[in-house]
Amino acid sequence: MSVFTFIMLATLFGVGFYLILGRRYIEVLFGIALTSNAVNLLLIHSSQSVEGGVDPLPQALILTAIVIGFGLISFFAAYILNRIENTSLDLIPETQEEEKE
Amino acid sequence: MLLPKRTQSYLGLLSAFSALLCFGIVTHFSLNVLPFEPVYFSVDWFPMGYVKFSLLADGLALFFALLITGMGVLVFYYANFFMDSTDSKIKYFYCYMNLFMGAMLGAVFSNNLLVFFLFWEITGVMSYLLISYHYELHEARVASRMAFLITSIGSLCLLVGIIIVGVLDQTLEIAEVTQRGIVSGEHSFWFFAVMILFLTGIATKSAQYPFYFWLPEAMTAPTPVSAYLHSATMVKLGVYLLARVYVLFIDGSLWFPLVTTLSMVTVIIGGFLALFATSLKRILAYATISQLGFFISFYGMGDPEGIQYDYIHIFNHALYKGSLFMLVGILAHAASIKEVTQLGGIYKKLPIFSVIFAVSIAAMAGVPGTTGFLSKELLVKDVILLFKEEPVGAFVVMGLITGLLFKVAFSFRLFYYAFLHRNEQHIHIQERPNFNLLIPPLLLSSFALIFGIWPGGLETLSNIYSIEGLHKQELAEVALWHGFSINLAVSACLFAGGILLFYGVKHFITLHEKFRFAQYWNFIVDQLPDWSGWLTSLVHSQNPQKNLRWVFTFLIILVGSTVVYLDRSVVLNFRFSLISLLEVFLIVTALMLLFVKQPVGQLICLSLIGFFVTFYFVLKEAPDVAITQMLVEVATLFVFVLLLFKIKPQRDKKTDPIRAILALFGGLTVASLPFFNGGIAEGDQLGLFYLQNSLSAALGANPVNTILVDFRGLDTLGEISVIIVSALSVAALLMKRKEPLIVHNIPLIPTPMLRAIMPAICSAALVFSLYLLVRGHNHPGGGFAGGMNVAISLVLASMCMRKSRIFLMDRLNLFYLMMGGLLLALFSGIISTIMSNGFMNSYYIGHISLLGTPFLFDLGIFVLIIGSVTSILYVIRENTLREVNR
Repeated sequence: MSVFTFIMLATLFGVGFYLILGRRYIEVLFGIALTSNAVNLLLIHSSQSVEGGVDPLPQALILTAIVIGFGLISFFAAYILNRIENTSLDLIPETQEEEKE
Repeated sequence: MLLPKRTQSYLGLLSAFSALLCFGIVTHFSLNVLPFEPVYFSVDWFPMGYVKFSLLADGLALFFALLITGMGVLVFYYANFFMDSTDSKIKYFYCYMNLFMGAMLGAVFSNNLLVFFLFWEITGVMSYLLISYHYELHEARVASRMAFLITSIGSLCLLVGIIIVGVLDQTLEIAEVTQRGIVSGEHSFWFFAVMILFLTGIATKSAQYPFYFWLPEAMTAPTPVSAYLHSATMVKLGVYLLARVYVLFIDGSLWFPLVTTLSMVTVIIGGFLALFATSLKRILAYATISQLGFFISFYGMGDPEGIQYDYIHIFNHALYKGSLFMLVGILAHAASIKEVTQLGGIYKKLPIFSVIFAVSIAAMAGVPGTTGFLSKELLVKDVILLFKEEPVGAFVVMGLITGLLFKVAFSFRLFYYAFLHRNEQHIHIQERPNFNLLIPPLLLSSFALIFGIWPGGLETLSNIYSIEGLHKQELAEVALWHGFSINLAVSACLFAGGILLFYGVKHFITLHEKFRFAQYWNFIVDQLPDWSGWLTSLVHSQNPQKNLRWVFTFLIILVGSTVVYLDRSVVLNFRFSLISLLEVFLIVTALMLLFVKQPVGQLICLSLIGFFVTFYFVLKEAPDVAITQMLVEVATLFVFVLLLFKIKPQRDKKTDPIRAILALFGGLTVASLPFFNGGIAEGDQLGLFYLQNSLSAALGANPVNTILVDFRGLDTLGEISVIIVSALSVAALLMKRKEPLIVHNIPLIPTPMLRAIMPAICSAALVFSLYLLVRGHNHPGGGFAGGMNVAISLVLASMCMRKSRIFLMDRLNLFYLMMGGLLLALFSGIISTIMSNGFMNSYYIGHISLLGTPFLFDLGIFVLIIGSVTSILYVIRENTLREVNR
């Protein structure tokens, strides 16, 4: 594996995790989107050349993963829109009390 | 269950009758069947777990059954007149009591340890329900909780012990287990573990030290319950189990010291507390505890050849203790007397009652002429034998002597307050006791007298029920008069000593309050919710983001430690290629994402990453994936842009080092995973299989597509269902009214030029999508890509054009569209089920790929993706741009 690939994967996952752990809805959503991209890149690395072409199995996996990833992102976006219905504030409430306020 | 009031008042008699029937059967069995052979019965239940529903009727089982049913008759008869039959709870009382009797019978007759355990647990549950019969009282609830918790702890230990026995011996049949013994040998760890676990179960059930304290508290139960469960039968179930498994442990070196120590401590504590307690029922409960200690010690010190006379002790205890409990219950009803000190002069008011009371006390103390005397004589004989033979037994001898002294003392105490003590208070009899209530204790105490004068009866009883393995083979001899011997002298000394002991400690009646461990237990149990709440608040937060940190911590610890310690099969190299350039771009963009704080900037970075990933797939020779990635990227961008319309961005100024550390190590951990795809060799062969067979087996040159729609069609069916679920969830979360999912136009980008060319673009997109769909089987493309393409162009068009003229969009309900797609996919599966004998087994008409079920399936995916993705984008657009819309 190339050093660049390693650094790229580490950076993408690291930034994705960092965003997911954040306190803002939009950050978390971006983190999920970034991480699902990173996972697909991780998967494509197990697709090595075999006789007569490229291993098609990881590609088939990734293809559905991409579409499902979109389903997940849109669901989370809808969830956020539902949560911030009244306030439009981008902060995840710390406690239930804070949420009620 | 609704019963008329009249029936309710006969429930006790009805139960007594059923108990009598059982009693008759048991007696018949004892007289006609037993003298010849034990009877076995067995049906397979869960053969793999050695569980058979097997029963065994031998002397031990029948003796206990006789006790259970015999006491059952009397207790039910008594309860019929004792319990308030107008109470609406009365039916539950009899329900639990009858269930209890059945469970007890089941327990003593079962020949399989797990079946035995099942019945054992039922008796525990019934005990819990009966103690809390007056659940409106706080103390009843507390007492039942305590009894249940303690006996459950014991039961769990017993269950573990039983499982260990099953694993070691490959059987759970009691008869076989006792024959084989514990196969690992008496010096092994497992032997010791099983012994401790069984003893814990026995000690909790039979109220032995240190678990005894639940029994006095259980006296809040109605008196018939105390008489039946908590003195005559349930608490003896532990004794029964001990008698059953006695041969298993008798060779263990720790058995004798352990059992005798525990039981002797119990004997002494029980006797001591019985001497100081003031409540009548509590005195009896402590006396029971002490007596149970005797029973247990009996098996602990028995020699390997077997024991004798255990039945006589148990029988005697049932006679006097049952009688005493019932009498105390009568007192509480008739004169509201619950304390021992209030008894003074009772004999003047209730003469018949007092006679029965005196006889029962005499049997408890062991006065000559009662069964108690015989029982005590035998015990004294054992003690003397033990003292002569085994000097180690000195402690046991001391314990037994002390216990007997206490027993005489607390028996005399009852006698003293009832007959000798002058009471200053006037006893007021509110209600003369119903004579029917006196019949059961009268019967019991008469038996105590009859058998006391006629020891031959007891002898026969003891011999009929003796079983091989447990009892000595020689016949037991019981006699009333042994002549002047050392035994008699010891008995006389015990009497004198006991009475003296009572006079000595008469005035210290409040002492026992300090020994009520129940209050410490309750304190601990009451604190538990607070402690667990405190513990929970340490690790758990209402904020999901805080909990997520724990998930990441464990990911890093578990996976990361593996990464560090395992051998790596892949090595790093510094080769630089075109892909590496793309990787550098990705690294830079990702880092920019980290430092750009504005959401719009972040969105731009994210989209850049998405398109770089598309190129990445292209360079990795994955055109199908690249096409889908590109289209999904567009749709995702669309969702994000819409979201930014609605959301008010806020700055998070907090610096959070933990977050950064977790992210850093999490990233490194996950990125190290490719080092371990050493097992990929097998994966290569799998990929090779698809490459080689794609054209021949699935009639398609594009293996990625044939995997999706043909080889792994069932997986894909699951995946497209997920997309539908996602689309429906989005609609459910965001749509206010029940409106059909039909796209309305919002002219958000009303550029005339775009509006003019939009129909053309849309038509071209649709044609291109159909092209992608059709060629998918052989070339990059397919249902996923085609569907995404259509959905994106439809939603874009709806935002440019004032009036929808695009195909059927203004009439098409997207819900039906996605459901239609799913049905189409299912339909292709059904056709293949019929035509080629298997769900999703592809079927072709004349070997043409476009006329086969895989293409139909792909078409289903195409339609479903159009419906779902359009619906998602449309619903989110409606929600975010509602203000613009108005």
